[in-house]
Amino acid sequence: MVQAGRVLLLFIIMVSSLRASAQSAVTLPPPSFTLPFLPSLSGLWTVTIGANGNVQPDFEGARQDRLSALPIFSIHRPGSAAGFVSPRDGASFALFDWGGFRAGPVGKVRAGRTASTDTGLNGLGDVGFAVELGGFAEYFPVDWFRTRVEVRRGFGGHDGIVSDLSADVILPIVQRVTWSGGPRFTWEDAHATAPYFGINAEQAAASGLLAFDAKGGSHSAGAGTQVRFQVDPHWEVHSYVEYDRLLGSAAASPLVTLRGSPDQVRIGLGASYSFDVGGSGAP
Amino acid sequence: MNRSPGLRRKIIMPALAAALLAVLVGSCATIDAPAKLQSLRTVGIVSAVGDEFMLTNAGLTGFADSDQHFSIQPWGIDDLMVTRTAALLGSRFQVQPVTYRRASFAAGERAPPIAVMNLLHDDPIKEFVRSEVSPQGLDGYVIITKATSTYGSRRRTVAGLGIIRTGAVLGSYAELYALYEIRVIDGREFKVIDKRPAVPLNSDEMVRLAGPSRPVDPSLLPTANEPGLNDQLKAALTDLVERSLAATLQDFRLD
Repeated sequence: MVQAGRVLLLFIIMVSSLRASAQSAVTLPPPSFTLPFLPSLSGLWTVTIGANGNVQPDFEGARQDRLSALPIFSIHRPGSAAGFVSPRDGASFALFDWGGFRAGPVGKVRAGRTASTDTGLNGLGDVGFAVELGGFAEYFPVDWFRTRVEVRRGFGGHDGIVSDLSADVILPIVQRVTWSGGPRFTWEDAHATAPYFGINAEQAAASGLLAFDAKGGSHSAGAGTQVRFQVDPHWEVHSYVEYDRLLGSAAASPLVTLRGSPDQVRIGLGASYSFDVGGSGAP
Repeated sequence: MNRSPGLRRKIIMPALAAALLAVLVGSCATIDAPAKLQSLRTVGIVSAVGDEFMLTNAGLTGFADSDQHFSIQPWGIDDLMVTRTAALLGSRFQVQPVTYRRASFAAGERAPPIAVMNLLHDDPIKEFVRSEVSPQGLDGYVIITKATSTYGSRRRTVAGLGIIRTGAVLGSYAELYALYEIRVIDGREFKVIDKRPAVPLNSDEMVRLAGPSRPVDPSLLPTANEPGLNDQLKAALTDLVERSLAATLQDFRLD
């Protein structure tokens, strides 16, 4: 779990990209070292801090929801962040960027599952957290429409292949408010599905559920929507709703049909504050 | 509802610690100019920013909407930048006039599609200073060239001087920008002593670019391929350049 927290933190730092604005100028001593191939640390930087609250299923396929909170943090050059990010996106970095097409590595953390946290999991044992690493590609034919695909391989809790496809319309309603939304689809192979939805003989005996051999294929389909409101140059609030309907083996698993639900909803609400450090600023 | 018992210890506390560390690293910011800058006496100034003005359509656009480029050489923005920089540096340095081929410096490299390539190639401006600036032999050269910034949902790149017009469902808005960077190059070894982008000017803008920008009335948008006749646009751009030059040179601690 400690490792999961560290990996999660790294991803939060990598992926957070919220609009920023300048405010203060702080003069500090210069760093005592430089890295020849990296930009200088000196100058103006924008720091964003905040928090995000989420209501989501206790585990994938669960009927019960749980509340969780995560910090928001990023540090970047003024004006260098922004860009559209969907709540489902993995943390990614574009190595290739040309004409609206971007591609590069992507990573995501899939939370573990602890049997003692939900009665629906009685007898099924724990599943450790998984780190999923792979690649992404996205294409913007225009500013207001994005398609994206991620293909990731799991390490830890599962060792299968997961592929997420999504499309989003991104509409600036007015300067301060942006709405986005669109369809989602996930495909998983058997190695990614079985640890969460398969039930072997031992688990069947312990849980009272029928044994189930989970296979790969279509995993879920749904839709998501997000609203961002720039309150002022420093404050931003955002909210999202993501709905998925489990498909295939995930939906057919006795864990879902008898103790859970194929309808999965995630709701999030967050706020962030941005400020500048470094540089002498404007006169 | 369920809360992980170790959530605070395992995730939140390390997150806050790393956040604090990153803030400290990030704010190890500027600022005393290196000794090498202090040793310069004679400098020449090169500016190659103001040859072209770009109109970028963003936000709600049609599939066929493309960027438009206009020549604004008659506005003399580069001459203004050289004059203004010389005035700001004059009390500290002996500024000498130089001649150069502006087109070479203004050629503006296109960012390679593979990001890491940006880090591997050498800065061509150093060679331009060696081969295309006269006279040689000054202690240093202050070189002002176009810089870039990303903007909007798909992180489009804008560079140099221009306006971004963003269409929304209810109305539209426009942002005027002057994106440039300043290098100080050693006049004998032709090494970059320091390099900084022009800093954003206003802390209370809703639109934020990586350099100086300000909102403008959409009526200032260049039309009919004749931005040269748009005196209001020229005045707004000139003001942005003049104010940002002072702020950026202040960041160098050259003045």
